[in-house]
Amino acid sequence: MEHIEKITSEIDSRIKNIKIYHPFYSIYAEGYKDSNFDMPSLILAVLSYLVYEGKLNAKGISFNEIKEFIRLFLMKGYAYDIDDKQSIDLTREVINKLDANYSYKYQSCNTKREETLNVSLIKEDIKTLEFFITTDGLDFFLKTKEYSEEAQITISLLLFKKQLEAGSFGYALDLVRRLNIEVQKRIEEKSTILNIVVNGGSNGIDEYKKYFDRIAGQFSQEETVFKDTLKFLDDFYKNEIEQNKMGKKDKEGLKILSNIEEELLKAQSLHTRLIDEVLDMSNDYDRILDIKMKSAFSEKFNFERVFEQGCVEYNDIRVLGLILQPFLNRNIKKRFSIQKIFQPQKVKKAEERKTEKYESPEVSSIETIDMLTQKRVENNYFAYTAMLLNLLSSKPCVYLEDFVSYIKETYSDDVVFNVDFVPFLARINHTSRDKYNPYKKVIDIKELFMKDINLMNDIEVCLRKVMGQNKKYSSWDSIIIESLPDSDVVFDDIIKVTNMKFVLV
Amino acid sequence: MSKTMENLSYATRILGELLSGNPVGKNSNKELYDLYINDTEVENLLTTISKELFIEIYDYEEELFLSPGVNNRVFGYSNDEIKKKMRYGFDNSEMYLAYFVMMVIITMFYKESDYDTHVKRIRIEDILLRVSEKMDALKNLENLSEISTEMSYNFEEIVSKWESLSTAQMVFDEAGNMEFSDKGKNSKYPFINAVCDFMEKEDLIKKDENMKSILPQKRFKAIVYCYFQDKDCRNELYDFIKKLNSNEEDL
Repeated sequence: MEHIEKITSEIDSRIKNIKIYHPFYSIYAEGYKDSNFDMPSLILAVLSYLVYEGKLNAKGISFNEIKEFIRLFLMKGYAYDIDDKQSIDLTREVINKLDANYSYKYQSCNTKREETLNVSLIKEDIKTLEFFITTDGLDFFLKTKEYSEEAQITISLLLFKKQLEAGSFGYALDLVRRLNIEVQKRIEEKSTILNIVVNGGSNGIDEYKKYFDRIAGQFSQEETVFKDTLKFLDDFYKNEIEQNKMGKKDKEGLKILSNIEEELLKAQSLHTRLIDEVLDMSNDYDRILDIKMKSAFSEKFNFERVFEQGCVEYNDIRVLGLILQPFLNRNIKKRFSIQKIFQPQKVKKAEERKTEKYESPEVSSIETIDMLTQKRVENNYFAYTAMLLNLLSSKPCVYLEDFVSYIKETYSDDVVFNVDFVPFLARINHTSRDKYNPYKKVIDIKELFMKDINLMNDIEVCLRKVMGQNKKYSSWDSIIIESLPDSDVVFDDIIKVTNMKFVLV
Repeated sequence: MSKTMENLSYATRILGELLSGNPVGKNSNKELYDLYINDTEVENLLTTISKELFIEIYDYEEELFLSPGVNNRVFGYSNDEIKKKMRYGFDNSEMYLAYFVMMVIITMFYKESDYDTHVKRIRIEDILLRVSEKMDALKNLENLSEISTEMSYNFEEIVSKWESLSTAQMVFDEAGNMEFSDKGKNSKYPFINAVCDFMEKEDLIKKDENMKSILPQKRFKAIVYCYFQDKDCRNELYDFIKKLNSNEEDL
């Protein structure tokens, strides 16, 4: 048991190091219903896109850009073509997964209590609604291919130097670019560390100190390597260019070297920014500690409890109004000022007036409760019909249970308790009563469109309306609706309805 | 001009900017913000003037925010004004239902007041589900209708209002695909959408139409932290709630 001390003291930091994998494996464990592609791979692809297109160009990526990327990626990676609607839905799902806050809870050996580490891979700018990869996201992304984090900068720097010496300028350019990503990561790490300081209890102080040590270490390593590199570049210019010793290969190398120089200039400005951010950070750190001190001694307002109390104890809706009042903006009541008539007024030109049209006031009719109810019933019947046809388009034979599961999945479980749902089923069941076979009715689609709309029942009107609005139903011939009196369907142990079968022909 | 008069002028300028809806912070109106931060007299004068006008000013993440607090007869909204501000001109029960939805949204972001929220975004669909859950819980209260008959401001009314709304209205987009309608107030989904529009106008949330979700704005976080975490403000709010119960004051 000689290692017990060391093992125990290291557990917390090991947990912290693997937290960045938590979102990915949570997404992996959730699975994805579409077997045409692999969701974890898609997640990695979008992260890569956010690094190459976003991070490296220091810009945010819009929803539409991600959507287009996903469409192209599925096409290129899986030869899987999706339409615009599918790509919007998929993009929403991917962003929701990446942008979610994944909480990693563990029992800390240091603090002897449960600690929570929060990780999310991307973030959204609230003003521009553009997406950016987070420091954790970048950290995770780099670990999927590049070197391990601890030694990342050191190894990169050493490799950079060696590659320059060996004349492998292409690789050296890649490395200096990667170095720049690392420096950018350090800059953004600041907000993550401050976030830990806000939410992470005593962990925050440790993380804050470690961050300073990391930055200081990085600067000292870079100082040596960059000094050597500059000396190398200086010698190279003197020996090769001034003495005209350059061959064709060397000239290509020179071009890459000028790119390296450009990247190094970028690195220089990034480092300056990093220094500024680190200096600012100590102010932010003090401010947050101050807030935490105040928070620790102040009682919190429990919204959930007051909400429940407002509902149950007081049974007074005005409680909600009172809680919401502080959230509203100031209300400035404007009044007409008599002085306004002495102010210069803008007079409209005559020709502008000509374009103005007199619009007769619309005669509005008062909507009665019956009219509102009728409208609601029509809307609901229309929605249920559209759902039924949509389901039939993917599955030519549908039982009532399938239909109910489908709409429950789309809306919610309590959809069956909607006042219009059971009447809808009754109406559609009634529609199925044919004079030759009381349990079966064939609805001829062509006939449906030929029929006088005034002679149709409400279900037929809905069918015609839904089919008329979507081209995909134009190839259908008929729908058979059959009621199955020997079997019943029970919804949530409350409602019992005769089973039905819908068949597309 | 004496130093105090000069500072009074700065304090009123800051208040003027905030009342006009212009931001004062590290990134805009920086000069005024720096005066507020660096000169205690400016800060004190601003606090005094705003207290006299029953408004609260908060410094949150290097920006100043203004709140009319509770029952502010000068800068607060009357119920009629709120109804008009809602996109489709809400009636009384719709306004209270909107309050209920807003309260659900707040509790989805914050269980209790804090400096910040861990919830980055909420899908409108999830709000719909949560409101439905809460309504079900209310509906299942055995004594709801019993209590409701005694009180004129009861929850039974908003439960029945919610129930009268259809779940969703379906429309077809240009490509012929079926989707939920976002507009109107006669279905649950559009109703929630209209409430979110109102909250966006009040600078509390930002709607992301592409993602069909909402994100909390800095002003929202500022009020949760600075107003609800403040003991005096909380007590003031509790006092008003108690008055409601004893019908001492019509609010």
